[in-house]
Amino acid sequence: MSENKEVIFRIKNLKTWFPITKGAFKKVVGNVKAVDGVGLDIYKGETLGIVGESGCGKSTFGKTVMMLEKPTDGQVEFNFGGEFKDITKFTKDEMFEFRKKVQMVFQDPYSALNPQKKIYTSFEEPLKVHGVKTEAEREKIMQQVLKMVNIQPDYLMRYPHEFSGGQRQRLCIARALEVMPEVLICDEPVSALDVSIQAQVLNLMKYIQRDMKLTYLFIAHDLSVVQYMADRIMVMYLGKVVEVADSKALYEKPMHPYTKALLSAIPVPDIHTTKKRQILEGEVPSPINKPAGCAFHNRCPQCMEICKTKDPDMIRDQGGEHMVACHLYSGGKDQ
Amino acid sequence: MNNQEIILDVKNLNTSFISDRKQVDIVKSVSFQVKRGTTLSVVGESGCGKSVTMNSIMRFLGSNARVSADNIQYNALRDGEITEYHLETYKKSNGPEMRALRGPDMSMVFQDPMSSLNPVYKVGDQVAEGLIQHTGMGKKEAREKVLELFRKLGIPDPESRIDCYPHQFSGGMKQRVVIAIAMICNPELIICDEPTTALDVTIQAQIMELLKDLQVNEGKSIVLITHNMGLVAEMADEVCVMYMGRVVEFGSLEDVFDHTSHPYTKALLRSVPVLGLADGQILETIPGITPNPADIKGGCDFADRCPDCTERCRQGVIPAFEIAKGHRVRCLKYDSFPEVNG
Amino acid sequence: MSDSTTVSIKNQNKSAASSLLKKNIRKFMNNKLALFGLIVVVIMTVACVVGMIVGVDYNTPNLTALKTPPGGEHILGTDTIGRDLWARVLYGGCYSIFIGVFCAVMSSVIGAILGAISGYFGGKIDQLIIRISEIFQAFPQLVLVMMLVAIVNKRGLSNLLVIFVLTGWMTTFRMVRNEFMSLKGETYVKVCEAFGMKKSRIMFNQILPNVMSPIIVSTTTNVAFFILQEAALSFIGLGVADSTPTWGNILNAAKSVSVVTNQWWVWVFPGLAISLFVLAINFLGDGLRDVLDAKQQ
Repeated sequence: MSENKEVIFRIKNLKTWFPITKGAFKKVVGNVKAVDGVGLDIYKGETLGIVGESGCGKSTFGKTVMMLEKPTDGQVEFNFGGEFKDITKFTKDEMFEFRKKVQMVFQDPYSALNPQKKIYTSFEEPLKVHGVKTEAEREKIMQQVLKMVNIQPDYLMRYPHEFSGGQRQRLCIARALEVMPEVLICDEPVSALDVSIQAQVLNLMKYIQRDMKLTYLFIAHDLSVVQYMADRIMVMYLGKVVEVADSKALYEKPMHPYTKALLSAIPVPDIHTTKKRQILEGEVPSPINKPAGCAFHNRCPQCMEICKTKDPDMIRDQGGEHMVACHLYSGGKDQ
Repeated sequence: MNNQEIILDVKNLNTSFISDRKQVDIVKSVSFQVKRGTTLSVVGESGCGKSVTMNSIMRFLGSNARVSADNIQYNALRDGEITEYHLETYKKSNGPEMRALRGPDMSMVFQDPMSSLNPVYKVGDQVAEGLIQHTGMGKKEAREKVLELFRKLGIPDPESRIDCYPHQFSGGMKQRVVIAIAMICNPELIICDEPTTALDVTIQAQIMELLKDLQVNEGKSIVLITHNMGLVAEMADEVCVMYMGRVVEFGSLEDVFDHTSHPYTKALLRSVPVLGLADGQILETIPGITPNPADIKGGCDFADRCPDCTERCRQGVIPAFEIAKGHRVRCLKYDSFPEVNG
Repeated sequence: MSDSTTVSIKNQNKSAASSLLKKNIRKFMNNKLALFGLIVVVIMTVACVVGMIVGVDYNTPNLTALKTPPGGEHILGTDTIGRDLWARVLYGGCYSIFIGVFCAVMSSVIGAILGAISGYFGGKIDQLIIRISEIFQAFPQLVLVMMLVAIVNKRGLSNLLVIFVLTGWMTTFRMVRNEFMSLKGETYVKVCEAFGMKKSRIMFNQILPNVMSPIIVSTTTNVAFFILQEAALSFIGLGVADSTPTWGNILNAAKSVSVVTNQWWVWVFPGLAISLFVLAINFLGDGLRDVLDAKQQ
């Protein structure tokens, strides 16, 4: 990455809570704190990987950044050609413009294409909506994006059920690229695919990023996939960021006990590694009643007294690149 | 090898489905053995027939399935005596012979713990049911057994959890309950069909530890169906790689990982992202797509995607060759080795 | 140059273009019972319409031939006042089928639109529409018809149509609403939202086509339902005015015991027409369900 990095997203204290209501009067009895105070800068042209277990809020985070979910609190500022605007306060028209800049690739390629419509129609719709008037122009764009994902244009006249999962995901990526976005949010793009197809799609996404100078938000539960794709990785646990680090640094020198456990839990397809498994006890608590203090303390092998009462702050280490939220490191410089 | 050593011997198993009046072959002449007290991993991508193979053995398939085999032999070891069962001779898939085996001898753990449990019954009752069915044990006694098993499987606070309903359990705990159902009649052979695919990695690690423990300490034989090469490396003693309904490579863990021979296995191992890849290293990909089982041509099924494909690969049925003792590969590259049935 | 590429995708690949329709037609053709239903429905409808266009005389009594049994000049015989039954069944069929089809289609349209709105938006709008549908469902159709007849003080076709449509849209509504609620969670809907499409466009262009098959199936079976309803109401004298023949009205003439016992042809033929048509429609509906239901594919 270059030295003077340009920020594309500036996220401050983002919270997305889903209220739980009860009774006839819809009294709010609690909140599912899916995203609970995430603050981060995302740089132009980087791939930010987001990992965590199911229910940690990584998908909700992606959707909130896209404004497909309304945040409860906090700001998401997007860099509109040098000018930062808070997208949480956008009007309808501004949002429409924003939709061209940021696109999303979803987890399930099987339901991402309307089964009743030919691929052609599914590809045509977004272009029509975004004001590409003539059919000739639309088809020119379609051909461009299909070339990027190596799919022959004549496949467009078919229905989704005639394609395999990998092809469908490539089609979905192509469709997202139609509006020439700057940011692509990828929500578990390969987890529904077979192993032999995964690599195809991952490599394709790498090439596309290089060609189009895209910024990726790459959300996945599989740390090895994220590590392959990302420049920086953000580890989430119960709606909070526990560690942000350079992809390599995270693998070589993980700091947060949760990251360490996550790394050690991944089975390695090599029979000669003599890795000692560190197995976490217990399960992820429900995001409705989070434990007091550090959310991870009841599973943490290095839990201290302070962890049970005080939520740790984000600590910056090594020139601010490596950030971790853990009391183990608060002996150092705070903030 | 004798019956003492081998618990399950499958020879030339074929399964096909009738769909739209057409016969589609899903499993084609599959042969393998499971050694007593070890773990056999069946790996392959979705649609390769790994689940259908196991369901064919357990006879869990619908009425549109046609199963045939030369031999499906299950050798039960009871009090030092071997009893042979020939599963292929049983006419009815849900007949009394088959039902008697399911549970006390061989049982199955399914992929999705969320849908494997009946939401309207307490988990304790669901676990105890098999026991009451097969042994005619009383409810009280069965409950004691269930509690004991829950403790062994690491379900915390079993006395109160036994009376909970499935929705009160998390995914990992549900899968433990499903394993408990499979384990309650103390079977010798446990078939696990992608037991952790629906679970998180940290929970997957817990469940795998549990299964390993059952195999090592209780001497269970496990068939682990998975698509995750990492799990295979950690769990398996022997590996069976399947592609498009055929066993393409079969051998011990060392054979398959250190002397990987079939081009598909090689490609599969190299296309999985592993932690700590060097910067700028690009994953190898397997070109093309998995063919549709309905329109399979002759020859090797992998030919279209194989880097070493020759003209010969596209004709006839490719036999398996034994390139080392117990290491069988279905690829013409090894035709200097003796041909074997498998 | 760009024009030549334009044609390339859409037109040059017509051969490669595949069609769900073709597959569905093939599947339908394999379903013998449904095919039988379709043929019967088509033949009966065509016969009735042709009869109406040709202008068969259904109303002039042949006073020389009262209550003649089938055969001869009147193939189905004549009724108690000497009207030709064949002509009446044909003519009445037109009305009956029209009532069935019109009411079924209209109630499906209303049900589909309300269901789409209710299911897609949810929340307060959903609650409101649900309550309204419950109110409509709480009224027995018969009572409503009687009330309307009493209010308008006239029996007629339009009464029946209004009542049937008003009381018939709830089942379709419920079904469409439930389908919408589950389909709005599908990824392709999210994709459209991510592209910033209008809500109405997502509802009617994206989701509705996926609900079309159950709507078509329920519309077909509703046709049969409404024909039976009409027959029942006409039979008890609350339906269409006597001057217009419908299958139910013709049956109405056979209310007296002497007709039932002595002039069997007066009630057998219209009754047969109703039964045959309704049965055929139901076969057709079942067949369509098998063909169109995506879950069974």
